[in-house]
Amino acid sequence: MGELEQNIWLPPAASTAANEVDPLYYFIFWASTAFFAIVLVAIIYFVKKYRKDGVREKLEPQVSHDSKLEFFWTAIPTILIIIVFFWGAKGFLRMQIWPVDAMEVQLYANAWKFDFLYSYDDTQFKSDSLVVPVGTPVRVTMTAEESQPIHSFYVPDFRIKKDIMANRYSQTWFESNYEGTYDYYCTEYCGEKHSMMNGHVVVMPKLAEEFDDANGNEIIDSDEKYTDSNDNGKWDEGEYFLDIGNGVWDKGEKFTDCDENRARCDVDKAEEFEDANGNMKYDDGEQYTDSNGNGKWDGEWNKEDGNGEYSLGEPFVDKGDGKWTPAEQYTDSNGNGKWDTGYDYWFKRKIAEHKASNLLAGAALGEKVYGDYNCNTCHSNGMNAGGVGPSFVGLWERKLKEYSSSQDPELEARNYINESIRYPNRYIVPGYPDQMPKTYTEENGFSNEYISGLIEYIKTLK
Amino acid sequence: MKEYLKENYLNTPTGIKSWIYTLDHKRIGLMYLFAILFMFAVGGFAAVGMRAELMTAKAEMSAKAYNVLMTLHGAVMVFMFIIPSIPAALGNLMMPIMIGAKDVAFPKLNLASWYVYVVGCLFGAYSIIVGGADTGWTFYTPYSSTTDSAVFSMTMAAFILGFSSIFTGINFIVTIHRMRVKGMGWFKMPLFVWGLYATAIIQILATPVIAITLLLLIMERVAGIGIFDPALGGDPVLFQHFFWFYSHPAVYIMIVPGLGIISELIATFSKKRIFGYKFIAGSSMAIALLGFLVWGHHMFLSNQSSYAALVFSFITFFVGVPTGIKVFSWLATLYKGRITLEAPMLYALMFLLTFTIGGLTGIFLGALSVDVHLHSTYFVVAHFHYVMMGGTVVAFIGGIHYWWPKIFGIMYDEFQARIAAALVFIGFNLTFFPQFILGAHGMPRRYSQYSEREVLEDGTVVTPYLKKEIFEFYHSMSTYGSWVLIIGFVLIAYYLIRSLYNGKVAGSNPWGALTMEWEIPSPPPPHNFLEEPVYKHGPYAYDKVIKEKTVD
Repeated sequence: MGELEQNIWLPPAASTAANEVDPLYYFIFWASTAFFAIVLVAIIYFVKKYRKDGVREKLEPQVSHDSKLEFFWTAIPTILIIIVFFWGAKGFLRMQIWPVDAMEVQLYANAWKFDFLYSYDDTQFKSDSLVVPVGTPVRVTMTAEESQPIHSFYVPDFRIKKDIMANRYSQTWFESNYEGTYDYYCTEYCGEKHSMMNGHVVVMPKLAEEFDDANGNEIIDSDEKYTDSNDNGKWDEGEYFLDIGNGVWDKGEKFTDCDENRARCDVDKAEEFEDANGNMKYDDGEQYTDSNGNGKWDGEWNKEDGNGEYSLGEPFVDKGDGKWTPAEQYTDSNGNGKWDTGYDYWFKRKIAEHKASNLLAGAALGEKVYGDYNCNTCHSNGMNAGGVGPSFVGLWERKLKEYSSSQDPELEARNYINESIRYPNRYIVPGYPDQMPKTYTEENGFSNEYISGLIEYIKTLK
Repeated sequence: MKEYLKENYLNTPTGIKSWIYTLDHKRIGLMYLFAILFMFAVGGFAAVGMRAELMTAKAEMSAKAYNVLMTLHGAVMVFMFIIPSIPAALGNLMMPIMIGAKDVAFPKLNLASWYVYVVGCLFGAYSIIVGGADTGWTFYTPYSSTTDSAVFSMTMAAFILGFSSIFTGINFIVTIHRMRVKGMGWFKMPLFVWGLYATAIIQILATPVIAITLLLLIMERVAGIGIFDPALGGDPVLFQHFFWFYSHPAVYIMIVPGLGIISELIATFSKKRIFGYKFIAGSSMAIALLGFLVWGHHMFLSNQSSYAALVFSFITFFVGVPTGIKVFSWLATLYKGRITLEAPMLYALMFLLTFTIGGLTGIFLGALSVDVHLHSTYFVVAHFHYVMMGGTVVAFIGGIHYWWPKIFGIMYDEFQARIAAALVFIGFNLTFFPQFILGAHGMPRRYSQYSEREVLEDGTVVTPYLKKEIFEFYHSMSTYGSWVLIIGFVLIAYYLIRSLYNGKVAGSNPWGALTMEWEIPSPPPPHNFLEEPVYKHGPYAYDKVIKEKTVD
C-alpha cells in the first residue's frame, strides 16, 4: 500500500489489473512518441533543406526505391507490433481469469442504474455502490433482464470493463490494494440517461476498527465509550482513555474519567497536563499539551456548549450511514484520529438490515422457486420423480466437466442453465422432448435473481 | 495553356435540364461535391452543439436532445459525408481524366448513384424532422430494436446510401479495368486511382453486408422477428458482428482514397518521383484486404470468445505495417525534392502529422489489455477523429484545393488559404488531442453530461462524478478548439466561393504536375480531351519531364 500516484496520462492505478495495462500503455506511448518525432523531424528537416522553386532547371535521376531502407522500415515496426501483441494478449488473458478464492458480487444492470447484489446464507441485499474489502479479489458476475439494452461496467481506476447482455452472464474481476472511493460508469450507450448510469466503488479495510459493543447490538452506539470522537485528530475532553495499568490517570495517558452512566465526567480537563500537585485538576502554572494549538489550556467540557464538536453527554443521533459518527467508542488502529469502518462492519450491518425483510437468497431462494414454479414436475432434485425433463442432480458437475476445456467453465455452465430456462428449445438434451414452456420470462415476473438462485440450488444437488 | 477555356463542361450545354439529366462524370462529381459539403455542414453544426453541451459538466440541454445530436452527427458524417466524400466527389471529377477516359464505364449508373444518394439523404432528413434517432450511428441492438425514436427512417437512409456507394464502386472498378488509355499499365496509374480501385473493391464487397443487416434490423423492429433482440430470442452480439463486418472495412473506404490524394500532393509539390510506388499501391490493396479480417477488434469486451479476440488483435496490428510503409515512403519522397508549400501541400504535411497520430493511437486500442481500459472512452473518439478528420477530411480539403483550379479554372487566394490551413491545424489538434487524455482518464463516450446522477424516481440519491474536474478541464479545452476549427472552415468556404467571382485564371497546369488531368485545359472540355489522349509519360516522371507552371 501507499499513496496513489496522479499523472497526466492515466488515472490512479488502484487495482492489480493496472499492472497488466499501464506498463504496456507507456511502452506504446514512448515508442509512438519516438516514431512521431521521426516523422516530425524528417518533415521539418526536408522541407527546410529542399524548399526551392518547384520548377526544375535540368533533369536529373531521382531515387525512387531502396530495398534496404524499405526492408528496415517494414521489419522494425513488425517486430514492435509483435511484441505489443503478445504483451497485450498476455495481460488480457490474465485479466479474464479470476482467482478461485475471489469473493463474488452479482451485478444487475438496469436502465439506468447498477445494482450490486450481495448474499450471505439466506439473506441478500442490494447496494448502489460496489463495496469491497481491500486486498481481496472480487469477481463481479453480471447480467440484465431481457428488456435491457447492452450495458458495460467500467471502473477507470481499476482498468476493468465488460459488457453486460440481457439474459446472459458475463464477468470481470479485480483486486484493489488501495482503500478509497472510485467512480464506475456505464460505457455502452443505453439510451437517454446513459450518462447518469454511474456510481461509486468503495474499497474498505477488511475489518472495521474495534469498538466496545456495550449492548451487544453489533452497532456503534452513542452511549458506548470512545476516543477522539469528533474527527479532529486529537484527544479532547470527554473522550475515552486508555488506562495503562494502575486505574488512575497518569501523565501521557489519554482519558476521560466518567461516572457509571456516563452522563457526566468528573475530571475537568481536556488537554493533557502535568498534574504537579496531584489534585487531579489543572492549576495555573502546570504544564500542559496544547493539542489544538490555540495557545491555551482548554478545560471546557461536559457542556452542551454549541461549539459544534461532540462532547460526552451531548445528544447523539446515529444516522446509520455506515460511517463512523461521533460518540462511539473505537480503537484507532492506524492512528489517523478517527474511526475507520471496514467491509465486515458494512456487510454485517447490511445483512442485519435486510434480515428482517425475510427475502430469501441463494440456494434457499432457488429451492423455493423450484417448487413455486413447478420445476419439480419435470426435473428431479433426487427426492421427487420428475423424469419428463433431465434431472437437476449432478447437472452442475456434468456441465463443468463438459466445458472444462473452455476458458471459464463456470461461466459457461451458468449461461447454459440460464439460456435453457430463457430459451427452452435452444439446447435439447438427447432423449428428452422439446416440451418446456417458454413462460419463464421477465414479463411473467421470473427474474434473473430467480435464475441465480436456481443455479445456486442446482449446485447443491450432487 | 494559361487561358481559361470558354466552352467547358460547366457551361456546355446550359440549362437546368442539362444538369438534371447529365451523364458527364464531372458534372455528377460536382453535384456530389456540393451535396456532400452541405451534409458536412449539417454534421458540423451537430458537432458544435455537442461540444457546447460538453464544455461544462452540467447538462445544458436535455439528455434526449444530446443523444439525437450525437446520432445525427455520427450518421450524417459517416454515411452522408465521409464515405462518399473523396470517391464520389473528387474521384468522379478526376479519376476518368487521370486515366485518359472520356467518362466512367456506366454514366447512367453514375447519375443514378447521385439520385440514390439524394434519396438516402432525404430519408435522413425525414428522420431528423420527426425527432431524430437516438441510437448512435452504430445502431446497436437491442436498443435500436426497442427505442421509440426515428430509427426506421435513419436505417433506411443508411440502407439506401449503401446502394449509391455500391454503384460508384462498380463503376470505378470497370472504368479502371477497361478504360485506361493505351499504354497506361496497372503500375503506371496515378496512386489516387489505385486508392479508388482498392476502395471500390471494399465498397462492393462490404456494403451488401450492412444493407442486409439493416434490413434485418428493420424486420425486427417492424415485424417483431427475433434476430438480435434477446427478448425475442435473438443475439445482440450477432448484430455487432454483422455491423462491424461492414463498418470496419468502411473506415478503409473512408481513408484509402485519402491516402491516394496524399500521394498525388506529395509527389506534385516535391516535383519528385514518388518513393516506392509499388509498395504504396500494394499497401492500399493490402489494407483493403486485411481490413476485412479485423472487425472483431471493436468487440473485445462484448463477450466474444477471448481466443477470437486474440486472433482479431493479431491481424489488426498487421494493418499497421502497410500504413507505416506509406508514411515512410512519403517522407522519402520529400528527400531531395524541390518542395513548395502551396495550400494543398500544407494539407498534405498536416495529414502526415495528424494521420500518424491517428494511426499510432490505434496501436493502443489494438493491444488487448490496454483496450480493456480505453474501449468506449474518448480515447476512441479522439483516435477515430484523428484518422477520419485528421486523415480523410484533411486529405479531402487538400484535394479540393489541389483540383479547384482544374475544376473551375480559377485560383483562390493563396494567402487566405494558408491562414485557413493554420487555423484548421491548430483548431483540430486543440479539439481532439485533449480527448486522448480525457479517454485515458476514463471519460466514457456518448455522455451528455458528467456531473452527477440525478435523483431517480425511486428516491436514489445523487451520485457525483469524482472525476468531474479533470473531465471539465479537458472538455472545455476541446470546445475552444472546435471554435477555432469552425473559424478555419468558414474562412475556407469564404475564399473558395469568392474565388468563383474574382479568382485569377489558373491555366491548365498551375502546379506543374504530370498526371493526365493537367494536360487538358481548365476547366475541362465537356468530353475531357480536345484531342485523342495519348499516354506520354508516367504520372511521377519528374526526372524525365519538366512542366511549366501556368500560374504564379
